[in-house]
Amino acid sequence: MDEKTLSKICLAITIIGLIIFILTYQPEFEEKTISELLSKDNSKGILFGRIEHIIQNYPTTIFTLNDGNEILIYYPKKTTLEKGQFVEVYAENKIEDSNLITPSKNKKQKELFAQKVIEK
Amino acid sequence: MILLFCALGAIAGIIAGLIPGLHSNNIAVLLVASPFFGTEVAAFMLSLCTVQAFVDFIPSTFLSAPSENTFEGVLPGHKMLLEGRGIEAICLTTAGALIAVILGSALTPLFFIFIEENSEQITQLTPLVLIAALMTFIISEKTTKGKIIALFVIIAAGSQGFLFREQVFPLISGYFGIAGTLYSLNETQVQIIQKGNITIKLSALKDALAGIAGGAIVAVMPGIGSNTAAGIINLFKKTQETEKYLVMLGAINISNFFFSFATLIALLKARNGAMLAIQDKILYTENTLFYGTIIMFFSAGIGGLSAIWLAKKAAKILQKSKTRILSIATIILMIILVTLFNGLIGIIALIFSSALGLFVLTKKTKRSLCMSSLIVPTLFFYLFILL
Repeated sequence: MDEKTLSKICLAITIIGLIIFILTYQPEFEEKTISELLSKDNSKGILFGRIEHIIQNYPTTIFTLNDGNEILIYYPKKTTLEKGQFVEVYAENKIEDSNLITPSKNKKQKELFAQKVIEK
Repeated sequence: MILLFCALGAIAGIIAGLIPGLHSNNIAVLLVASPFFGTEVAAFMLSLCTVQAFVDFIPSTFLSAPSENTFEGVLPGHKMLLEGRGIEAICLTTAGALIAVILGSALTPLFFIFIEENSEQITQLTPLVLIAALMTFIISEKTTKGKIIALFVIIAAGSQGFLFREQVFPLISGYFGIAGTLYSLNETQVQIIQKGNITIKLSALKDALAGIAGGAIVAVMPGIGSNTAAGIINLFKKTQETEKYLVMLGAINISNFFFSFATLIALLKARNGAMLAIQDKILYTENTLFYGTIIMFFSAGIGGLSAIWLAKKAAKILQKSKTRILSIATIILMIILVTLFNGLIGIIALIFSSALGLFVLTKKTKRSLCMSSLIVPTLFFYLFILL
């Protein structure tokens, strides 16, 4: 095998990889509203809203977010978030993680799991 | 947008690969502090690491200027350069890396499952592997004098590893760069014509499989770098041809990133600076591993093309200049880079490591022994956390 063959293999890998990526890639987090996220189990989306209440900042963060509707959000990290801040939340409506915060008896309380919270 | 970040990552990877001492970790630090977030960050970083894994071998081969991931390749690469086979050396590391990319992409899901289920056992196994490696370094010496020298080098390099813990670049530049360049100054006064026609023996490519195993070791055992893994694998081989060694090193370097990424997704634990940078910057979904693997896959193609093209350019430049001048220029470059990246403490580390590197060369003992500067501190770290 010479270096020209090697270069051809490199080019083929680049093209094949790019084609697979372009054909398969779908952004998993798109901008959504709380009601859109809640309407479908296991759905994901980027929420934008204002923090209404901070329940705790440490060791994990639990807060309520308002984007017209209000929802309780669980974020498994400590933060310095404050009431009144505008944030972007990469949230998931996970079935297995539902009722992470609220007692299991209170099934009516809706909540979302956050992968990332970005202060705006 | 993601493809734009991939392209930027590839450019950054080429730059980082060409400048000895500029590691992806340096760029990773900047990325951690940046406001960027999401798949774009992962695309940039994975592309950067992949391309750098290919281009890294160019300064190692053509300038004897090592990087954290390629210093074991300095001697065989430079040896081939002196035979006029510099481009071939780069093609060999590229070929090894390409095999690792193809097989590594396929093995990543299996590796992901394995690591998820066996992480604790692997942590417990790591110090035993390191002790075995050190013992084998000594036992493999044929004479008693050789064994004593090997033990001395392990102690000296290990002490330097403890003393200069954050000075990896000066240490490896001393052991594998400056020492080797100084040693060969008198031998390399001729102009070296680099051969343009390259033929890679297909039999050499089998060693890429050992390289993939090495990449897996690096990804699961924190503290073990690509070169340490290469050294450990090398101990189990009766003979090691230069060509096969370079194929293996190329494969280790790239498969390390594939498996490190799978480890990050499986255990949420970063095994190198690049993964540390993206650990808190990416979103963990069921498709993250797949997209990351594909990004690394096509970036590898770009990395391979860049490495081959740059090797040809480097060979042309080299043919126009006398290697003695180039060697002196390389030493000066390494001193400048160490001063810039590591300051005064780096220069002190460089002096001590160069002295030990020269000692190893004059005693004609294994240069890999200098890796003890990384192995010994890692071993103590593990013994400390396990006991």
